[in-house]
Amino acid sequence: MSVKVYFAVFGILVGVTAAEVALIGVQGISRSLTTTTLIGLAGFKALLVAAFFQHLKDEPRPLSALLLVGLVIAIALMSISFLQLHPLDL
Amino acid sequence: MRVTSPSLKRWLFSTNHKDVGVLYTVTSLVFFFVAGALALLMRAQLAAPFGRVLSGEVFNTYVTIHGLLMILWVLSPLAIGLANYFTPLQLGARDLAFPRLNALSYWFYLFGGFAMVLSFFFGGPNTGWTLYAPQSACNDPLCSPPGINVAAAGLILLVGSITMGSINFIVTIFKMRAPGLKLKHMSMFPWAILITVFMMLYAFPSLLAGLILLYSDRSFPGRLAYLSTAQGGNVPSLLWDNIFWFFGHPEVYIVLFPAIGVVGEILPTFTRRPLYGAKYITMSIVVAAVISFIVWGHHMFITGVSPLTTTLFTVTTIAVSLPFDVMTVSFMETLFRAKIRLKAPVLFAIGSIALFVIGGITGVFLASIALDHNLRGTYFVVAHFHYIMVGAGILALMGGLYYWFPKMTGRMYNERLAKLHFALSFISFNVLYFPMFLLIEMPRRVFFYTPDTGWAPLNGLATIGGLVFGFSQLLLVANLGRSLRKGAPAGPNPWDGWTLEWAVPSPPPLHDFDHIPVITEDGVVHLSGGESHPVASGIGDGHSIPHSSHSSRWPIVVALGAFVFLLGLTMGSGPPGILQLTPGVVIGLVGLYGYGKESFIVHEDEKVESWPFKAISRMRFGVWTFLASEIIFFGVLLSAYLFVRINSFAWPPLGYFDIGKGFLNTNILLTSSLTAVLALASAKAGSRNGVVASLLGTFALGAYFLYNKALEWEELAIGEHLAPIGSIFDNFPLAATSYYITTGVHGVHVFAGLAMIAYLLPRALKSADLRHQSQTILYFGLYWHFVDIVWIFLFPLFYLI
Repeated sequence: MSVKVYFAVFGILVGVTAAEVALIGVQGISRSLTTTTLIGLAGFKALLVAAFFQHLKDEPRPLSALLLVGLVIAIALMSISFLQLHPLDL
Repeated sequence: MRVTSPSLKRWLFSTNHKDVGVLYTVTSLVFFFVAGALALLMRAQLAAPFGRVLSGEVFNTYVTIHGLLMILWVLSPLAIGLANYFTPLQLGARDLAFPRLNALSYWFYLFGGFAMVLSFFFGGPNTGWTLYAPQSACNDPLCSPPGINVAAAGLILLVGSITMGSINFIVTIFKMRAPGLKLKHMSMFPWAILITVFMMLYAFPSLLAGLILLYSDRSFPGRLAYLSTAQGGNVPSLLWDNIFWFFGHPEVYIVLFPAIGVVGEILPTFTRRPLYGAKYITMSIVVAAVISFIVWGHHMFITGVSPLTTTLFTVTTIAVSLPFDVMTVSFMETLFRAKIRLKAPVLFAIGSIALFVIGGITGVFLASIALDHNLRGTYFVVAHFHYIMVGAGILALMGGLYYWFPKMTGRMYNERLAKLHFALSFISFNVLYFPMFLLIEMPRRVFFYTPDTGWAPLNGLATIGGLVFGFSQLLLVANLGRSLRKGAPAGPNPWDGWTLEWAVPSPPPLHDFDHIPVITEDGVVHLSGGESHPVASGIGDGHSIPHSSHSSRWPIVVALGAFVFLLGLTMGSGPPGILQLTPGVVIGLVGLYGYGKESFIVHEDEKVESWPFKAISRMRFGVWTFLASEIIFFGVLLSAYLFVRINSFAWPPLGYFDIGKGFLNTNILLTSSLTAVLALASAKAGSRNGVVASLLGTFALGAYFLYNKALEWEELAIGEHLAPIGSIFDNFPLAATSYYITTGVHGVHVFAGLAMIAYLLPRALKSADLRHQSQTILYFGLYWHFVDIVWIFLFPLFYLI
């Protein structure tokens, strides 16, 4: 992978981080939408780092599955925070 | 460390998978007798009303240490011992992928066990093996002095051991199968081990995260108190329940699956027919493994959680029993009308299946919320899980010991004594545990009772069963110990077994195979004519040429350093002083330096079956696998954050955590990721200056990040600049706990990354072949970028939301 790609990815990462900070200053967006967007942007940045800096996009696909399973399991635990004590908030 | 005795040297420094396997097996049996002795004393206490053998405090400590030792230091390690010895042989490999890491796993396990036993002398953990909060936290009257801390140190070492072991087995099974040996050709034991180690990889980080919360709670009460805080009603105790059982329930299957694998090896051999529905057994194990991660909530039916979750967990719990029906039926079909050679291993296997059916069915009772309300916390539950753990688990593994003993030693055991051992064990097991099913009104953790309860006859019977069961295990030791020296020669294949371990001499030579076997598409094995591989690992055992270069003294030193460090960290109440930590740090650094400097090369054989990971090196695959466990680890910490964030009464307003500083630190870490990847690019291009400059840049940015973090920590703690709100500890204790623990653990990861750079830089300066160094830089980069990814999530979670 060329150095140019690394710099381009870095530029996007910094830009998205700036956008994250800018987003919380925007009026008229609901708190839940802001939260969802911020988590989504963080996920996007993480994906960029994994795919390009860690070269995950060039690794065998089953390796991504190995990591994805970990992610899904962790999310299963996180979901309990919403389900266990505040089921009506769903 | 200078050791001259060849025998001692072999056992202390060997990295050979067979030696490590023997070490695991023998050590787990020693812990079996230690934990068993505690159980006998508990049974003696409960034999009659008003028992006076143990005080309540000692009884509680025995219950806790017995449970922790049996589950974590006996059952799994006994299976891992057999897996160490036989998985490489069954795959046609010469060793595990990372032999030194394997030795390190063992020593972490052993020292962890020492810490667990030592904890008794520090006041002992007395909360039961579940370490339930808030009882386990310091603010509670039940809290013992440093006993739980020292036990936590033992558990942390064990998690380290298990994580390293899991990575090793996953890489070995995927990357080191003999040519032609496809996954579908593998027999039941390696399959069971593969699924087990995956579960270990995903489940144990949760325990580690929980232990960090527990330790911080006990060491910084009132400051970093997730579990003992008065805030949030029952949220803190529920948090521990979730984290513990998220690990704890998969652990049940982690214990059970290797036993199922052993049964799956023994039955075909002694019935002389293929395992009925082997493919479906494998699929069932996979399905059960998946579902086992979404059943943990059934341990919390009466904790006041929402009906929605109790209903969901009832469904998943009943669902998880279904794959086990498939396995049981397959085993029974294999036995049905077969001409079974009734040797000891198959007797143990059949006994194990029978007891598993009883344990399994009574488990389904507990999945029902209505029944669970009445049965939970009673001896019915004790009976249920002992039928699974001991009946199905230990008995099958003992069958495995008898089955493979001739292969490990080259000698036969005494069959008559082994059958007597089985008969006594099976009968006394049922005398011990079946009465407990009837003690449905007796709470499981009382240390005495009165005659009017009517519990005396059944308890007396159980104690008689316990004594016979306990002492009958001495037959195993006597039999195997005597046969080791005087048993009849076994020959290479005394059982006419079909798997690859039976194709080599007994005991196997150091290098396992003279020629790596080749397997054809239909599963036929060709044992000779393959390529000869002279390289083996480990120290000579008299059967082959010693390869002393593949022994290593550093795993035991590193593990000793970790042990001493963790003891220093946990022995006192409250945060430790520098002096307490210094010895462990010194020993650990010496060990790590020696470990890193030692030339220990394991060649990767090109001609192996490695689908679906052919295109990735073993080491890179290993690092990625480690990162998968890290995802769970940080996932659990973030779950803790989320749990208190959603349920706590107060949280700092937006802007309390300085957004500007968070933004700056995020960009610092992102830039460090860029420099890390540039270091890799420079190494590949052969530019030494580029590598050094990039690594130095990464180091400087990482250090600057930590400096900024430290300033921010101090500012939040003092709170002078945060008017009108003030210190985070005074105003938002749960947020403070969450923030300091999560960013603190992340900071430790950054610090570890800096240490790696300190190791890489001199090598980059000296190395003649920079392209070779690029691999090491790549492994470092994978870790560093992961640490960056974690921060990418922490920034919005703490600063922007």
